[in-house]
Amino acid sequence: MNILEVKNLKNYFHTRDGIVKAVDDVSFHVAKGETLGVVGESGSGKSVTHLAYLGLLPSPPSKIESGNVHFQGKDLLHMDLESLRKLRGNKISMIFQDPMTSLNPFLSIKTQLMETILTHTNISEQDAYKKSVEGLIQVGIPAADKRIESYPHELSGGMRQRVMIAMALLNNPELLIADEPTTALDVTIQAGVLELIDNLKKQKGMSVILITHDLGVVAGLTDRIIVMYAGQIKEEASTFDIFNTPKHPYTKALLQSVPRLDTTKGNRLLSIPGLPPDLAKPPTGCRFHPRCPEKIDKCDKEEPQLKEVGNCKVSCHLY
Amino acid sequence: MIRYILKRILSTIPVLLIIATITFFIIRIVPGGPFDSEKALPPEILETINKKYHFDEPLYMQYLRYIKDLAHLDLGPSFKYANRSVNEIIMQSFPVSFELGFWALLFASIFGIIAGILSSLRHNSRVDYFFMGLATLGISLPSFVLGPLLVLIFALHFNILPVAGWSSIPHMIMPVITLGAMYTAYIARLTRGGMLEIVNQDFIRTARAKGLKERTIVLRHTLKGGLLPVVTFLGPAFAGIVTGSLVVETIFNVPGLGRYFIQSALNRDYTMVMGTVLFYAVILIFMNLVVDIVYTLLDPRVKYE
Ligand SMILES: Nc1ncnc2c1ncn2[C@@H]1O[C@H](COP(=O)(O)OP(=O)(O)O)[C@@H](O)[C@H]1O
Ligand SMILES: [Mg+2]
Repeated sequence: MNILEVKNLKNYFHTRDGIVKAVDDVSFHVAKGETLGVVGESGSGKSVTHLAYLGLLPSPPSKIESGNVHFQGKDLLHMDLESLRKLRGNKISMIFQDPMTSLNPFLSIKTQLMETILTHTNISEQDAYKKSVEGLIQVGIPAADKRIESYPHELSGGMRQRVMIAMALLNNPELLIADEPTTALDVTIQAGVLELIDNLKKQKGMSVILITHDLGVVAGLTDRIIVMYAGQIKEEASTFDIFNTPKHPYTKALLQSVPRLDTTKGNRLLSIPGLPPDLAKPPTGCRFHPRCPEKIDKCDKEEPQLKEVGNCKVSCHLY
Repeated sequence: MIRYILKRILSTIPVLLIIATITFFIIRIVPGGPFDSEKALPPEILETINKKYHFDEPLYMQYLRYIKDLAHLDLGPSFKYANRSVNEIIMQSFPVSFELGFWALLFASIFGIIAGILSSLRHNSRVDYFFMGLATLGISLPSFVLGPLLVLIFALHFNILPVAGWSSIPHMIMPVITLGAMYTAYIARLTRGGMLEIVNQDFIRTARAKGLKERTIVLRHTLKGGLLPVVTFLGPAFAGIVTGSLVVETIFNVPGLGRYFIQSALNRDYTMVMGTVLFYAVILIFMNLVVDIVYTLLDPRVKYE
């Protein structure tokens, strides 16, 4: 059973410089208990896709142009704002990239944790407090009953991200969306935070969407991966297939930019030559063609469609 | 915290001493003296006066004498209001200015903050344009225009408020509005700017992602940070407003400190000028201390040791 189904979602930004097609006809699903990886260069529309159906984008300039999004069978795009609010932070939780700016510096951790519970559940303040402390213990914060009194600036980056994770899980969500949860963290603690998310996922049996620009991050954690470029999905396959038989030239390029420990040159980071396109004026045909090493004649004329190739889906004229 | 406050209070003493010194010598450099008038006074009277106010002594002696009195919180006799000390005059007129200023600033804070919040919530809407248009008007309309305009309408035409004076609540309405208008406009703009700055922060998106109600997001998550610029503004504004406004006090014939201050400068009433300057400085310094303390209450990242 699919917990989330997104069909033909389009979300544009109506800016002074034109219409930015940040999400342009995106379809995917998340099965119950599954971890879906969403990868792509920065600016490819990974965040906007998920912020859009949760109603978390400023409108204007953002507007959902068309599409369908169903969560547990409920239509997210056509429900009233109050019902959507009651899902957020409750059934669907989100963790953001930068724990330094994602917690309110003016409020204590206690306030920010407790309000997350109290806004969705009718329980006493004491019970909410107890649950909050338990939440902190669960994410491995030492001396949780003391730490809960702190303000965000008194904690390290890693601790703050653990607080964010604890906060996201307080109401036992069915779906957790982790948007680059380790990108802003020190390399030495990234693995610990990812492992924590993975463990909690298994413990609670929730579904996870793990967004990242670094394929290396998702390797051991995801079941399936979608690869995004310029607001579109270029490839969708099991994690195994993405790493072993990548089809789209863009996916291959992304894999080459993953830092590897086993190369003789040591830790290196290649980036894909060229720049991501201006989404207000995307290239004709395949949006990746100006940077594609395997470009053929029709790539700049005809837009490829996402089609099934073996066990995968890929949007490329080579297949 | 207590130690910090004590330290701040002690550190004002040298500041006040410097202000006293500079003012003392500046007003004496300015041509003219307190006892110059169109009719020259007979020499013997002038001599008695000079003796009485120690004008016959060298300047540095007068200075030391003034500082010594100041150490005892004695601001000396007024040179123009015979038989009245500067302390007496300030004590008598300051409460009036304080009352006027207090109500004006309260009026300005309430309406300014509400207008600012509404504007920021309906950013770039008609509500926003309306309030910000009004604010621009408030800032550009001087009180010597607004005051008489109000008098014309409410006192002379509709006859529902007294023209001038300071003896009852109806008397206070127009001066308070006239004095508060510009402050209301400033506070509305600062509130709007501060709120918009916070609204675009990541943590507001987090608050929304947690499913908090809009009301909670505004009142708990946005307001505290959004009002910081207003708090910074209110401190010095309070010091300025409670020490009196010449224009408003003159228009409405309010017996406050503002009128004395300007009058004393024109009269070369040396002690009165110095007294009001020092008094203003003390209030300003005190208000800045209050602002800093309020800051620590609003923003946990700010700590003073
Ligand atoms: N508020 C906005 N106004 C205009 N364009 C935006 C806005 N937010 C995001 N975008 C654009 O949408 C595109 C996708 O952004 P995003 O989803 O954040 O990328 P990422 O894949 O790095 O998460 C980017 O090109 C970005 O410039
Ligand atoms: Mg992103």
